[in-house]
Amino acid sequence: MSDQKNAGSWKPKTMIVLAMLFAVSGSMLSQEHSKLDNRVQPPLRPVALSLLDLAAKDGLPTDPLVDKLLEGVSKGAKDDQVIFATKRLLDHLQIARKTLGQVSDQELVAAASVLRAKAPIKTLSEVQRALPNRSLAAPFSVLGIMLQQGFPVKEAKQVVIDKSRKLDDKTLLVLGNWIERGIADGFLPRTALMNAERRLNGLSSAK
Amino acid sequence: MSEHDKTENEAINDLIARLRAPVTPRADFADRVMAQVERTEIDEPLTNRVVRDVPRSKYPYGRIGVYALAGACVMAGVMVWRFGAAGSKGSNAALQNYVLEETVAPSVIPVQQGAERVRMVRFEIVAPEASEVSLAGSFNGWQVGATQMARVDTRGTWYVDVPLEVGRHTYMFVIDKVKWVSDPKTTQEVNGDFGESNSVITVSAEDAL
Repeated sequence: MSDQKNAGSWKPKTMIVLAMLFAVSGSMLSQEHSKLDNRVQPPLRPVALSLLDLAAKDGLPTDPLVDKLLEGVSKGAKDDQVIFATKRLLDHLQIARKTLGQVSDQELVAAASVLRAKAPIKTLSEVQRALPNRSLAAPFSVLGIMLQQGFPVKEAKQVVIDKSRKLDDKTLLVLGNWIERGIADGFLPRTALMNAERRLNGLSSAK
Repeated sequence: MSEHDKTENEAINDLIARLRAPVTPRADFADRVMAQVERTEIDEPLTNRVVRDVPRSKYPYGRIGVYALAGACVMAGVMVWRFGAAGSKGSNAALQNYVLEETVAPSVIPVQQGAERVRMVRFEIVAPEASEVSLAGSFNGWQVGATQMARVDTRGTWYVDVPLEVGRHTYMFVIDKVKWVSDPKTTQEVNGDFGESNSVITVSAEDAL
């Protein structure tokens, strides 16, 4: 809800200023982003291209940003809402990069989902420290899902760390999906977790 | 075994032997058939002709044929009794997977051919008043109209099958190009940045676990 309030505060004037700031570098705007097709039109288009160029310059994945832009445009959202949502995603990707260092695009995107779920930034580094020599894409994805579904950060983080030490990526993602389904079906987060664990144990013993 | 039974057994064995014997048509068989076909005047549907020409007798396939049929039924029964358990075990496993996926909408149907990472997913929505419905999501660039749904019944059920990679996808239905609605059949949603929540479909490889 607060996000929507924030989005509302983004006036067209802000957009113009942003566009002018980004337009300083002509080379940034010179490269048309083909993935946007013709679906993103001015005045949104130059701002959108600037955000994509910024991401590319920082070595961040641009696909999730394009996805966000296209979603907003398709849904007929106001330009300032689209920019707000895309800029916030870019911020999260940048923070994730700064915190985690050189990690894969999938790990960055998953880490951004954790930040989107309002986890403190230090959560990322704590998980990274606890799970050395392991891809963090699946653990961060599951953590993001659990936080979005209402798990307290501390508890979700510990569950993800514990499970990531025992399970491979595929099984971990399945567990995350079952937890999400359980909560969506009306179970409390802890009950959904217990049910998912029980189901997983049942599968393991049946194998 | 009585003499009568022996005779019957011999008759059955004789029939089986004759049925098993390879049939070698004469060299001019095809020519004769085609010539007969050309000579035949078709003045009514072929099916009617066939049905009308069937001999009507108590045992239309002959007495021995009835015994052969009965024997086949007994053998089929034995096969079902002997191998039925294993067969049902397999189909139960398949059913279990199907039900597992069916507990949430949309339904996920594993695709046999090729990629382990792709599943065919059926999306459905009931929208009786709609004149067109499409599916927009992270898998098609949220493009309205890119994935059109088809109306399948008078209740106004619309569906489309979409091949999706294993992973998490978000989507919404678009009614008459303007109205965006979450999937009423699933409660798995994420807060959208643009109004209503997006529905979530996680295509998983859980059946491979």
